[in-house]
Amino acid sequence: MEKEKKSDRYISGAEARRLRRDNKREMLRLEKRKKAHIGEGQYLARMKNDQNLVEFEDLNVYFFTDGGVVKSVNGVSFDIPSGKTVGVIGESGCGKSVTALSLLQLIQAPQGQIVSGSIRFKTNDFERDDSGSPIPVYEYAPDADGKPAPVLTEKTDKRGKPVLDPDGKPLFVQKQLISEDGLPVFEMVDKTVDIAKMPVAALQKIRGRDITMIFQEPMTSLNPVFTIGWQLDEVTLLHVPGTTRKTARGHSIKMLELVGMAIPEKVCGQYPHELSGGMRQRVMIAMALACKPKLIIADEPTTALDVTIQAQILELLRNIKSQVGCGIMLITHDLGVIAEMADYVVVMYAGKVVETGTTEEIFAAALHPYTIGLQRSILSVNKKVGRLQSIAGQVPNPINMPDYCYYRDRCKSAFSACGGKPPRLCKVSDTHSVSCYLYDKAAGEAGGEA
Amino acid sequence: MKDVRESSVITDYKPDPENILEVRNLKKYFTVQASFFGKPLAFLKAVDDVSLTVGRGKTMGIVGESGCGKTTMGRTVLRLYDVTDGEIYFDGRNISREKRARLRDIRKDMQIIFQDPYSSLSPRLPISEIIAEGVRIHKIVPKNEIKDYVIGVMKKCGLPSHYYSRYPFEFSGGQRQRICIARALAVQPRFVVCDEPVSALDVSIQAQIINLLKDLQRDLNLTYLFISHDLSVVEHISDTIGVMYLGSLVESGDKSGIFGNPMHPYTQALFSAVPIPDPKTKMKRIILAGDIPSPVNPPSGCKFHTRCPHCTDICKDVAPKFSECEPGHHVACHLYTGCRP
Repeated sequence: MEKEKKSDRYISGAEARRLRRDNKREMLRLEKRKKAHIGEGQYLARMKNDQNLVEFEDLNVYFFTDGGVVKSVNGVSFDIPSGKTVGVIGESGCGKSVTALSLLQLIQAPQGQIVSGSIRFKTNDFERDDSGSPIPVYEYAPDADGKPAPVLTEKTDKRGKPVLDPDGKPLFVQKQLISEDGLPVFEMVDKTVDIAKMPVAALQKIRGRDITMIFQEPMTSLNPVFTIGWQLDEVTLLHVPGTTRKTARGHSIKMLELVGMAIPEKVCGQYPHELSGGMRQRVMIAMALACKPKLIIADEPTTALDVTIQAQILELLRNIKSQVGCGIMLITHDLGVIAEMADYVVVMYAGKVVETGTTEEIFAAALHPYTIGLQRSILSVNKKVGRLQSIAGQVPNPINMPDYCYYRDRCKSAFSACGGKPPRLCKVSDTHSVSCYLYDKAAGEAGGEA
Repeated sequence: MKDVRESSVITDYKPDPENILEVRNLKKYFTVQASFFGKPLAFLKAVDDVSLTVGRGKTMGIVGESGCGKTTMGRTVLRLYDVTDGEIYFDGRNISREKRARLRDIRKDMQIIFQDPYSSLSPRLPISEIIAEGVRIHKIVPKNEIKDYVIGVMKKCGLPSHYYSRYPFEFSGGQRQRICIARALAVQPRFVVCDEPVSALDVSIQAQIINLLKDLQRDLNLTYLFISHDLSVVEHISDTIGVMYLGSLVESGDKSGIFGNPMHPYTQALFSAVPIPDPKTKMKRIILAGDIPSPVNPPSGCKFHTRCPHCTDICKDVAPKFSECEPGHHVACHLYTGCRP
């Protein structure tokens, strides 16, 4: 029998104590930053390219575990252009979900923390007056002379009863404009913020409104003790000031219609367990659309569903994208879904981006050995293959990442330069970048010597 | 279920010796509602009248959506569930009514690989023990040779011998699935039910396991009943394919027949729903409306008529027969009853 190797997970007691102490200090420091009361000026940023909706730049997300620091996302940079679908692919554990969650600062805290880097996002905030309340847009109608004049309406209290002045006459106020959805309209202003620097309190205004998320498991992401209608109304009530339960419910029903529910009024009164998997996923999509988001993060939206239901949901997402005009960040490990849905593809491996490009570039002319290996190892219907080519070996242990290219030990085309420091993402064309020394000869030679 | 036992008449049916497994009109109902005294009131018809044959050394693939009864069918074939009605002939022997004690020596010949490698291995046993347990019970090799034999099986399944005394938690998903395969193959079975063996694994690991299964089949002349919802995997590994919908087979036949000329509307929709990893191919999608109906109250007539794009009046009332439309290609659909001889 071969000699038993000592497990690479083994750490001594003293080492473990030191790790715990260091982790605690680091986690406390980063947690404090999230709760700090800082002004808006501290986290405003500028986009590098104005066409982009999101720009990730050198993002690092670490998990401080008792076994050591796991660099889940390790220097990730890519962009999501406005109104486009960006697909992120990679094996499980490669950091694709963590990248998406960091966009909402929803990483498991306090272990998981955004350590450095920036996530710039073009948000659409309410314009606020000096007291901090949002400024409503008023309705105007042409008067007798044809000039626009403010429309007046009776002032009402919260219960809808008219407010009377001391003489007993009703008071009149300017009427606020109501959008087609039945929701009050406010003055909006475009801002670019750096989400990595934002305190949680400020971020909560973006979560669920400008950036929404569709999770993999629709059963566990809906609350089993509240009705579907209640959970949908909550989104509108939270994010649009001045909505009443009644207008919110009307809006929720419209959203359920949009996602193709047959009897939305009935669904509103049902509980999540009464719906099937596909229906639940539709409810999740309706919830994500409630506030006209600018970006929808779809984290494996169809992995838990059957193929026929998957086809329905993908069709729905495509239609919605063209109707609402939002960007989609689609996370999946299914290359077929990516090919069908995405405009741009980001391939991740062990916490790093190994290749980015348009869908055509990635599928027709993939460059990185990992992308090529991934494409060869998948099966597809009506494609005859003798023997599947698999990628040998496994993803390296995330606690002890090698100090050379993470893919070298599994790579068939590794050469001397690959033993140097990990390669950087270099541009092959305007849209296509790859991080491999095979295509970065100059850096490869320098790296090989180093 | 007394009435059922009475209905099972002992037939003098002789199965074809070419086939290792023949299943005739297999039914498996679960009781979902019983009266106070235990009389069943409502059944979940998990497997409803399924007939299939698997040739020696061949692979039969079973595809279908979740909840269509493919796993129950696989387990009933192994008699892990008791049969409600119908016959299972394994190697020419009717095992559908065999007593539990007599099943033990059949179990040596038929094994199963489960879907989830995380929950199907006992966390308290080292993998040597997991693999050796069956070897010891079935007395495959003498006691003093067990260790060498287990290491041999492990090597065959791509597990280095120094893993011998490790525990399952020390392994990744792909390696765990290798352990499950080693456990199944250690008792030298001839027939293995693979119940979604790769769906819990990553794509690059999937390819390794599929290659391993194919190599082992070639070396050991195994027969597989390969259950999966992933059509591309089934297409790659199978010789014949059966498509299930709501407990029944709707179509079965050779791989080339099923993929080249899918006849049942459900098969057509299922195949068109699979995303193709090539942005240039734009598929003409048949998108089915609605969800799979409840198997407790299946629709009358053809079970698929609630979602079928070609539904006619007859489909709502009369269940179509599972009949041979082309040589070796069986379909249960009224659209093709005309071509029946």
